[in-house]
Amino acid sequence: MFLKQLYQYNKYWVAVFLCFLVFFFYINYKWGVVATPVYQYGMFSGKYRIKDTVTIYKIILDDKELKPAKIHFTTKDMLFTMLEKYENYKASPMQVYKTMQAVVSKFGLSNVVSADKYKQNLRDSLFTKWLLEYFKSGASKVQIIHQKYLWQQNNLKAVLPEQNTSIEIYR
Amino acid sequence: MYATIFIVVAGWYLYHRLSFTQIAPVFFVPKPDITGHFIFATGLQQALVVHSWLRLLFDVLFYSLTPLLICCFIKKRKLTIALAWLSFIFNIFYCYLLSCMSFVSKEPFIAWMLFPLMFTGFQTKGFYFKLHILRILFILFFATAGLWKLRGGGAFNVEQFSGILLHQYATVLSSGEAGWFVQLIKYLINHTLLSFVLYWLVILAELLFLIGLFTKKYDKLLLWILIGFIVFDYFLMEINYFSWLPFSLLFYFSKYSIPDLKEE
Repeated sequence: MFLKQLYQYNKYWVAVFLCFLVFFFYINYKWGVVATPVYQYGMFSGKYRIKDTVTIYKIILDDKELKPAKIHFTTKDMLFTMLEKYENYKASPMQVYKTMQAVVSKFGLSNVVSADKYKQNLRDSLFTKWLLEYFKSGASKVQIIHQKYLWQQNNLKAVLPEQNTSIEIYR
Repeated sequence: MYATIFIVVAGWYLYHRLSFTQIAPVFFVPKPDITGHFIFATGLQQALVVHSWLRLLFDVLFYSLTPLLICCFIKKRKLTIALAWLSFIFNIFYCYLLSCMSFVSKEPFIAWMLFPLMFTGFQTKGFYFKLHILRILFILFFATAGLWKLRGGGAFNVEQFSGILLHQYATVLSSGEAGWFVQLIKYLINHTLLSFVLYWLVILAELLFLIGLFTKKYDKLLLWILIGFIVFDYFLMEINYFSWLPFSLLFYFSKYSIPDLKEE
């Protein structure tokens, strides 16, 4: 048996290996917080439905909508995913800090990381300027909007009018 | 082989402007991660946003440490062990922070974090055991992805893969763009049963890895399944799991044994 061979070779390695395994199964059982490099590999395991409405972000550069199909998926993901992440994070910037403090305080480690370490200078103008620079666009106006869509008759169709996001227009 | 894979995959990341220097992030998004929480105690996340020299230093270190480590390992330099531990710790920092400042998830980076540990010694026997420890860990990582699909309910939802594709390609589909790939995605969204079969094929492929815990006889098959999964993910889902390619080496080299060790 492999574990027996490993034990005969190096007892400490067995201990570390078993600890990793126990922690891995615990993290997976608990379902939530992870601890790099111990992860949950639950990608695309939650239920997805085609009848659910989808919120889609749109980037308007100089009054023209950016066509996502025309750019490589890495650039597309960088722009649109970061956009969504930015807006969600802006809405509740200290949420993860609070969650993590609740976890680490169980081990008496709540004083290790101060709230200051999670604080940052979030400014819409900085973000939209970054977006332009990353996309290498010379546009002078950036507008971020979103709209709800639904899958109907072989297409995604808008079910609500376009709405402004919390991200200010950049000029 | 590991260094070659690293250079090719890292080259892909550089080509697609996915290094700190190229991204030049202006904000970071923390994740619910205990290690990540303590990494934040260093303040590196804030410094990386502010200082371009630090971003460059991080990139240079990340892209040079692995080739340097492999060179030292091959030449059996004393520096190797220290380099291996440094790579292990630094890669954890690099990959976690990069995932906080880009769209890239941290899970695909697991090979860059764990593989340096393979080079923390020169003994063939030690290398053999580390190879097999990593092999077992990867089997569990991959198989639990299948188990999660059962636990999360995705495996019992006929619309699952159609729904995933709809969410994955929502921005493209809503823009009204045409083209063969968009047509293929639309076809798969509309044919829920066919998509569901594809989803279940992935689940079965992931669960099949459990067999590797009991025997090495099917490692060649598992190797090809892993490569198939990576290619499938890249072309159909537009997710780059090529950084998991080093794990395929474990299933190739597992056929070798050490003469003074009795086989399972």
